[in-house]
Amino acid sequence: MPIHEIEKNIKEFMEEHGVKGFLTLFFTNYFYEMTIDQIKSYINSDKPEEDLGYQYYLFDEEIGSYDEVREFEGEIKEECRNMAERVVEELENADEEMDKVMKGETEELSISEEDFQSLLHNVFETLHEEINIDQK
Amino acid sequence: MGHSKRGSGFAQNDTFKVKKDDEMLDHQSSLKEFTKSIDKKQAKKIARIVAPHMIATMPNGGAKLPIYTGLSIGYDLYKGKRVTEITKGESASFVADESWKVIENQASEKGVNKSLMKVCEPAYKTTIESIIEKGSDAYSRD
Repeated sequence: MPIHEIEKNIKEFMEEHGVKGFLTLFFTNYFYEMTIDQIKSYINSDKPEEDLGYQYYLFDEEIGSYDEVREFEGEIKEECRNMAERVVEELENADEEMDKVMKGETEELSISEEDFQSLLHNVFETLHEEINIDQK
Repeated sequence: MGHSKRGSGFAQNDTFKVKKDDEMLDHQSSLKEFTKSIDKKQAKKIARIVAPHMIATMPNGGAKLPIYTGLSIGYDLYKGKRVTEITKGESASFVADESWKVIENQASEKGVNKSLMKVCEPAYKTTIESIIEKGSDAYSRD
């Protein structure tokens, strides 16, 4: 791939979607990988009915087709995207400095690692609590 | 834009606590208990529960560092920086690999849990590769 095309595509994305768009995509993919990894990691070869790594590929008690598995993964990804948008919105609204970062208003990344982690932690705790309430 | 801001800064955040790596194992165990009861067809429910649970309960220093470093690289890209990785690039995967090394090195220095890096790596690389290959279309829902 020519370097000028790499540069053009990055520039085009960042101009149109900015830091907010980058974080939304990053979180979508992060949640997705985490969810898939977690589901597939629960393996119990003695009890196939409890083996999510195995059941992941089962549809109506039969091994699903490629399309069925992809559709299932697509549904998970769609939900991860919804969550990512929600998280980015919460981050943007939760703090003045983060709001500036999202808008790309500062020359350097102006939020410290510690502050970002703290902010992110609070956002996820809020999200987690809301989901716990929804489950009840 | 007139956003209403919640709170006035991090100093007042007394609920924030850094969790240790050994606590991570407890959280993973409790999540495994939960996943036993998952109906796999409920994709939305699975995603809604697993990801926030994992992130809300994971240790702070380790889990969120890769996200911060990813953000700092994204910010540099936004500002037209990171030219070294980009101009050396011959493919999307090369640029993704090179910039991932920055995250990996920082995480390694800080002793980040390797299982978290295993999850973060494909997420980061997929993001970078899709931006390089698709430009602004990378943002659209497939």
